Amino acid sequence: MRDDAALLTDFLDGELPPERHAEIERRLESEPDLAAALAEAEAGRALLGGLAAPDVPLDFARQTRRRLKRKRAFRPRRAGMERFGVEIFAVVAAVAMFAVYLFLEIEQSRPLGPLREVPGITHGP
Amino acid sequence: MHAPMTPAEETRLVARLKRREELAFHELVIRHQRAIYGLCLRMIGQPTEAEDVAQDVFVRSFLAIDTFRGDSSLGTWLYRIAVNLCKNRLKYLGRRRSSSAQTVDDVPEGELVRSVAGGLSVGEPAPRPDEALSGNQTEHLIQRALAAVEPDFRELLVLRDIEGLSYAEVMTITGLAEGTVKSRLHRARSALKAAYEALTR
Repeated sequence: MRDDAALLTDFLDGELPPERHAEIERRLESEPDLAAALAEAEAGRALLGGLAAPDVPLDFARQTRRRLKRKRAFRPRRAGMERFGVEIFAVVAAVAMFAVYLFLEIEQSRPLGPLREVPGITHGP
Repeated sequence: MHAPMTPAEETRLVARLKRREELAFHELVIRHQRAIYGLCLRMIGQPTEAEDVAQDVFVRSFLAIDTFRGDSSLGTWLYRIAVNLCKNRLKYLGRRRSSSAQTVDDVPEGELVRSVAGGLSVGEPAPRPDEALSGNQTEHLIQRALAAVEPDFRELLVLRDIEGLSYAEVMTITGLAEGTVKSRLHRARSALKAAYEALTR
């Protein structure tokens, strides 16, 4: 019967291949006990099919979170500079490097000014 | 209702949980509260106890998240914890009921209910008169019939026939072999039908 019990569950849940399913159908016609056992199980399963999903109690998530907070299980949140320290440093460093790059670029591209006259030195022939 | 998480999303959530992020915990609860509370309520039958156990499921899962290896989905892992905690709570409630000197006279009126056998038992709140007259009566009877089924069988009814889990998931959660799950499920369904008939006779 243990084997039949598992088999009937497979039959009821549509887990059997077609030829095996047909075989059980033939057995059900000739074995009233087996048919009665199937009917019982089918009725039991049908009862549960009518149950609606229960509503979760109001505030369930917040209460659960509070319960865990009491155990100090969360990583404390970092605030301000501490929280964003690395990010702020990275931004400042990037801006500084860009500023240096720009300065060097400008310096290199600036045209040379006219030579200043120095007393006692003549330019050219 | 939340859309199911992709494996990648779940991996990210688990990583955040392992970093002990509070918001990740909140997301975990929001995503799974309906399934976990539903399972606890169907297993235990008492809303207050079910809520307490369901909260405990999330708290314990968060504290033990480092042991989650990803062999199953996060949902299946939560179900497994929930089933174990529900069975522990049922044992505790059973012991408390039998060891305490509590008599029917000590129990609040609303918590008395006729057992399937026709006597009086403690614990499950009886339907209020207005509920008994409403369409909820059948549901109350089914819940009471479910409570009359042995917990080892009840868990299979809840996981398979109410939560609609696959046999592979049920096997992972219960640790039972496939043949055992299926033969027990057959007996559980028949037992439920018999319990329901006893209540409605």
